Amino acid sequence: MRKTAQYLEGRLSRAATAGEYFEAELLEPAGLTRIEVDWPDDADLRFAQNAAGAWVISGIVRQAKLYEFNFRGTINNKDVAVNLRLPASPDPWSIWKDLPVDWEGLPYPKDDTDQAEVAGDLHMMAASHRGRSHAHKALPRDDDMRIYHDAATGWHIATVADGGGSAPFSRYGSQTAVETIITELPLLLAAHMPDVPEAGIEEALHATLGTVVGMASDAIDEVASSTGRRLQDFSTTLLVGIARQTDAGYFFASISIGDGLIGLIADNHPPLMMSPDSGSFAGQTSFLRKEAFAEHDALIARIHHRTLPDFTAFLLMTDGVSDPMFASERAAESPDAWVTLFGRIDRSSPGALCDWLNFKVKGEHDDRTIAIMTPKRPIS
Amino acid sequence: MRRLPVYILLDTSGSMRGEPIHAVNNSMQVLFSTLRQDPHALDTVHISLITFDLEARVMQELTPLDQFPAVDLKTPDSGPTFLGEALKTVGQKVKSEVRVGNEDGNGDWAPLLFVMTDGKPSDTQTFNEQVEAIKSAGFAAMVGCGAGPSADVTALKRFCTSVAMLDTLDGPGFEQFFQWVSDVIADGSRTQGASPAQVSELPPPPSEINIVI
Repeated sequence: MRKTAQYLEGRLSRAATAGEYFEAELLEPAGLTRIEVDWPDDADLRFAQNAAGAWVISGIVRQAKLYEFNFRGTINNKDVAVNLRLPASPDPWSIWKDLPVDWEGLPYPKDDTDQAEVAGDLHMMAASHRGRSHAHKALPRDDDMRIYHDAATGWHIATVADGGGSAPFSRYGSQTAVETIITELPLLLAAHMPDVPEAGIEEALHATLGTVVGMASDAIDEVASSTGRRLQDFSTTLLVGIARQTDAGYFFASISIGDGLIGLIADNHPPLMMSPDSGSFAGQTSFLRKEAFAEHDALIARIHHRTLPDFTAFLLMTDGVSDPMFASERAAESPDAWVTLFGRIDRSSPGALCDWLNFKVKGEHDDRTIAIMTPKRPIS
Repeated sequence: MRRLPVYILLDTSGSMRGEPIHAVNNSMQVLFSTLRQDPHALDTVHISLITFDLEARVMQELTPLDQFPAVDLKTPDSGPTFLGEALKTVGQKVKSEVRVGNEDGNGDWAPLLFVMTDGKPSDTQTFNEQVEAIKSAGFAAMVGCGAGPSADVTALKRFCTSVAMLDTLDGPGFEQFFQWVSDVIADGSRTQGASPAQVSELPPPPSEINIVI
């Protein structure tokens, strides 16, 4: 007479990824002394008992799908039939899409990438690349950047901005911010800092860098009020770096609102040229708003400056670059970490820099923008 | 790497027995297969599954989406709905599992909480205590789902940032709710403002879902 086996639902300790070897323990049912499986065709799997006596399934599944199969076994000399479900995920790198933005009916169009190169007394290069997470959903690039050299005053200006991901028009907030910097800052520098002053440097930087971020904030206010849109719909961070040659070598200054990083690589000097505004959780930051720098002292605290006889590179980047490159804020305080980063950057051309920005790091798919100033070296 | 921790609290009390729990199991399966088609979710989403009936039980510890095994939820024949215990458990888990950013490391994305119940909390005193605690646990959003005519939506409103209501305990309703869960999770790892006023709004729920708040 045929026995009717007891029907059970199996439970595994973990799921699989298609094409990747995995091991999972069979948590339920317990007490199996025998297993006999009709394996699915598109998988190479086996069951074996580990040292502790637990059954472990191992091998490779080929498809990304929910595998469901039955096996027969024995528990306490009784036959059982077990249904087992094994979900298999695709390799995430294989399923990213690069979808164009449908600009039909959308304001403030922006290219998916941007790149620039300017030769002044220093060499400047910058690039901006739409993030994978935006490309996958046909969303626009929210980052922006500009670089500028004023031949009359000798100032070099680089600015990067990261439009907030949850703000619908942040791409135009970032664009308005960097455009305001490049339009207004040369005038302010010509008026207040035609040269690097011996004394009163902080007041001079307050009158230039401090004033210009306020102007950028006003410009965004103006866009919002003239279009009847909400100010927070244009939320953006803003990083600004300036540099020029001096008799003593080089002078650098910066101001920042929000995350991202500004760093100066020069021997063993502390590299950080900003105090990041990050929240406790990822993605929480400050945006360019009047409140962020309403007080004189709060604004001064955002300004950093340094004079050095020589340097390797002055870098500004949005958090799309700094997050995957620096494991922590403490890591960004290490000169070596910056040298390592600088060594990885492909600066052979602006296009190469832009391509480099598409580097692959698990879980890091934001828009990425970087601006780099380097000394002009004689060709040896 | 930045993780998006997601805590899913599901009512498995006796009243969920039969068709309702079957529908929840199926909808959970659809939720997972949908999320697994999203490369960003595969990289960042970590899910913890906690059930509550006459006790709160961690069915699956916080696990990366790509490693999350198939689960089959079961219900006792009858019994209370210890939602307060479930909130207490999730509060402890968040404290020990979610990484807060500091100078030594980047933090996780602010966690998300989803709570589905078809009844009202039986452990009233614990529930009252936990309502305030959960509000300060750091969740970016707490989405409640009151399923069926006996669900105590008012209790959910006391701590949830959004509450959805399902008229009936059947397949299509749960499917719609878990579709929304999937949308909220997929949306959860975008830049959030530092102040509550800047927290991004949730994606709109499917049209069949009624939002209470």
